[in-house]
Amino acid sequence: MDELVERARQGDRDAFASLVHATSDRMYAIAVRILRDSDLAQDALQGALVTAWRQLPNLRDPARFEAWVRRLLIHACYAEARRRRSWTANVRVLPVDGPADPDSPLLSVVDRDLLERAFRRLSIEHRAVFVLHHHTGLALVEIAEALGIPAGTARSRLHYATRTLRDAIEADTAPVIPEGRMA
Amino acid sequence: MTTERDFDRIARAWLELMPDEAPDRTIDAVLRAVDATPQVRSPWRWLPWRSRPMNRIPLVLGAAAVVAIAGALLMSRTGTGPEIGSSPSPGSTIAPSGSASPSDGFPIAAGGPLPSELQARWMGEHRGVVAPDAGTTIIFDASTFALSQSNAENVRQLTSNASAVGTGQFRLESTATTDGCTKGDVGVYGWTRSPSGRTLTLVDDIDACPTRAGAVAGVWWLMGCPIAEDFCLGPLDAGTYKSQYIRPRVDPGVTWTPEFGAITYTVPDGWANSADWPTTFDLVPATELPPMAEADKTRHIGLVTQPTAMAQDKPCSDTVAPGVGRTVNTLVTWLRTVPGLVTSKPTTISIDGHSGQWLDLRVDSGWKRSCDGETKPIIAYLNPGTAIAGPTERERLILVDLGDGDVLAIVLWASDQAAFDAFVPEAMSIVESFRFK
Repeated sequence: MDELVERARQGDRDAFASLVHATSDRMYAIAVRILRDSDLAQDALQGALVTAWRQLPNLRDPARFEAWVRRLLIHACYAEARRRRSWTANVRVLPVDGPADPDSPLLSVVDRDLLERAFRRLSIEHRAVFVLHHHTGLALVEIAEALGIPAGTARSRLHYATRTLRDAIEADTAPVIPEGRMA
Repeated sequence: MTTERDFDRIARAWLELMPDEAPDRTIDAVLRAVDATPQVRSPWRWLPWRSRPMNRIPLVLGAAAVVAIAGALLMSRTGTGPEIGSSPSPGSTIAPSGSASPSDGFPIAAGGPLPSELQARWMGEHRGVVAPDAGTTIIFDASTFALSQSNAENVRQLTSNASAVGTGQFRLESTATTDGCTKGDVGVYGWTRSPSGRTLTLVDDIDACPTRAGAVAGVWWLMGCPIAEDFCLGPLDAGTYKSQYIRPRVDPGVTWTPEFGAITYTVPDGWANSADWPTTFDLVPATELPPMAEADKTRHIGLVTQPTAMAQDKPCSDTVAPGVGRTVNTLVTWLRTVPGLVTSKPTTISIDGHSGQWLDLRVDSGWKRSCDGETKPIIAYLNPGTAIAGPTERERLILVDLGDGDVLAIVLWASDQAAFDAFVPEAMSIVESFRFK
């Protein structure tokens, strides 16, 4: 991949196309999980990759390409969330779509619904940390680097997000939490 | 109770439910965009190009001087023009405003990369090309310019190639026929920065596209937020500023729309805007900005819109305390009953003609309860997420009645009593400068 990055840095569009094909699925998977919306995720992915192309000559270390694109993507997710800001003060109710996946006995329809509702109440920053940790598998230090934030901030955001989602599935008999706000 | 391991498995299983493949149409769109998009080269890559055509320099300066004269003659509305010392270049012509496009023989050729002082995001008042009430952002890099609505930076408007064409001047050339401009329309602008570099003043010397001229000219504030995605202004010069995103009068659950200047505030030297979101807004001494670690911070002013009482039987949750209304009086009365929270006697205040009350808060020295994962004693008392930790933290909570049932909470926070005592007088003078739209 380093060779492709180097060629793309020199302006080789074919090399960059290969990089796009190699990374876009992973990037889209992150964006759609943070934004919870396919259209927004596609816009974020597109914005991040075009920015990557434009700024690629300024990337110092080709080995950092994917981490760098991931950071651009997170920024693009922030921008998309801000741009389309109905910003989820209203929590959408997911349609009930049948029983839980039998291969995933831990995840009932109720859990899904509760997690979705709680997740949509999280700020986009908290979502990003949660997804990078639980989906992408990044360590807190890597998350901090990806987001350009101190490790302590990454830790506290993950803690808050985890606590919020845990509370949601543990308190499903409690009164409905009033509509949250993102800040 | 869900164990940590169970929760991790549940979370991962839930996250796996989303798709993993980027749609082909998105990849196609990226590759099409790349085909039409030049890469941005570091400035040093321009140096050989800039130094080669020596005879270009007098041409550019001469042309710039023509524009300066044109600006003086035609654009007296702009006040001061750029400082250009050269005499007009023989053969140059003055293009009247509205006809400056390369095809019409406009005399200013594209120049070199923009100076680094311009290459930034700048925030400004509402312009007619963005949605009503929205603020505006302009972005320069070495060779491009774009304007956007402040909350929609992905939607670039008035996109132009940009280049430096003389001391204190730059040239824009439209890259598309849109937003009232025709592709190829050229404009030349003068620019000056404040000594700190945080305020940029642009004057339209001449522009074939009047929409762009009207949108670009004016005063812009550097968006110097240490964390770029937070979209705040960062360090500020002494002066009066406007918020970009916070909407103190928008209820939870109501769709947010942008309103530039919902709050106007005045700060002395040494302050910074560290957050500006639809429901929160922070001002801090500039020394408190990153890279200062969270744990080392000592003071801030934080604004929270439409606060509600947080249920104390579900500590640190987002649950609203039942039966406590969202008015200044009921919140103040309730706060004085919160277990473990030591409050001063409420004092009335008026900010921009809006009545309110303030009271100082601390955690009782015998208070032990905390939030999950925290070690200090904590009392979370207002939604969303407003808390004070013991035993040393001090807060002044100001609740302002904005009318029509809208309440704004302003928190002056300090890490200990000494910091609080030193902080409050200056912070209060800033708070009292607030003006609400």
